[in-house]
Amino acid sequence: MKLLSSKPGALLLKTLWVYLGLSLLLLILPIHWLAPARGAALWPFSLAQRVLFEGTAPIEEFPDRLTRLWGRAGREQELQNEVAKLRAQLAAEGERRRSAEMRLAQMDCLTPELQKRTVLSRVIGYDASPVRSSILLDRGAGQGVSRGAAVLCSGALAGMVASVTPLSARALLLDDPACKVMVRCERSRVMGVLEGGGGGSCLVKYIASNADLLPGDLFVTSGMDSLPDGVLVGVCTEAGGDSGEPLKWVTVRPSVDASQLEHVAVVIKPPAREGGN
Amino acid sequence: MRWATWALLLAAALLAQAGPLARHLPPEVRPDPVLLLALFAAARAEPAEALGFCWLAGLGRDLFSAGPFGEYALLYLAAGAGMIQIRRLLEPRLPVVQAASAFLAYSFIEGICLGTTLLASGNRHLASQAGALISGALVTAAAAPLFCWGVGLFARPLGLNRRRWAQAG
Repeated sequence: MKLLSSKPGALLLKTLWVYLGLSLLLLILPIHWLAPARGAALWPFSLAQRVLFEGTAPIEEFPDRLTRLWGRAGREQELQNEVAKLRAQLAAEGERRRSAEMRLAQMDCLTPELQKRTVLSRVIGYDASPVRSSILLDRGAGQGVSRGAAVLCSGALAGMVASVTPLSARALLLDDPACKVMVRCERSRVMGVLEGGGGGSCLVKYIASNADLLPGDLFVTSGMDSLPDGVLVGVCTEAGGDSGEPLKWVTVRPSVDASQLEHVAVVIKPPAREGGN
Repeated sequence: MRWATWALLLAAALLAQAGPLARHLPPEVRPDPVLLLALFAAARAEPAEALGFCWLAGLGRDLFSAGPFGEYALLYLAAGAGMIQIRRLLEPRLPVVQAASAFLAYSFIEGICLGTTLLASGNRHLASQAGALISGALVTAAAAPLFCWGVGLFARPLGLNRRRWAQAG
């Protein structure tokens, strides 16, 4: 208290109040007001992350090359360099081929209708918070990505786009607590709302307690929200019993392993028809 | 405090946090370099500037998270203010103090984030994430002395005064 009544203490208190006010203001302001500023601030970071992700391969090879350079001499050295160079080229080609195959695989898993409406995107960042689960994509509004768009991986739903900037987009993964998707059991046609449960698991809520659900049942999108109909979401792992309560919830494991995401397909809105209703 | 150097360090920490660390490590064993940098600033820089830096670091975390914008800024500000008070009582260069303050700050910030997310979503199953948070806090605490030592080597480029602020004030 002695500190706060002193001169630097008063300055400190004043600074604290200013930043406190700013933070509260940011929390109170509507999300759509802040979205442009947030997008603009994220833009240089998304560029840097793109460079970081694409530039890590040569850095990983660097110590190996350095060892080779110092370990041998003369012709042997040149030959080794040549071999290393060819290996690096081969590895780069292999990586490019694998990347292209992965991108093609994303398209192969989609129905012809969806193939026409998807844009392939690379994952360039993850969520910094351990509580949340989201990814940063290298495609944004400029490529037709919009808020609420489905993010697919190997034909299954990985998440949905939560915010868009001109060159990037942030997508909530299915296990994020803010992610909510209308789903339907593929076998019994029971419908519910899938919510992220954190830690790679999800819950399907608002199901009648006597609903016919079994572990192993597949859940697909219902098509009643902005997402396409019939896309695989996950597998029921715990169906629960009839507890006497009017509603129950079941546990679902998402089909897409978020830790393995490298390339995803984002479903874009079909172009508006001229003169349509 | 040289803001350009601090901003560069913050950008690097943010990129590492949302890039390689988040990609390769699960939340249970992932240290939080942004928080460590903010705490280091709160422990060593001029208090008013340190508060500003903590707020900016939190704002940076908000940019890289899907949560409400401003939430981390507020929490980092609170953690920074707490650290400024702690450094008046304890020597912030002691590894034990660094580890303990990192543990407390991580638990406080991520605990409140988890609590608000839990309240906002009404999803009580999220409480099971508390274990992961404690584990993450322990890893961050373990990394704190090494991190502070590493960043402390650049005291001059960071514009840090060798004299303790509490003594100066």
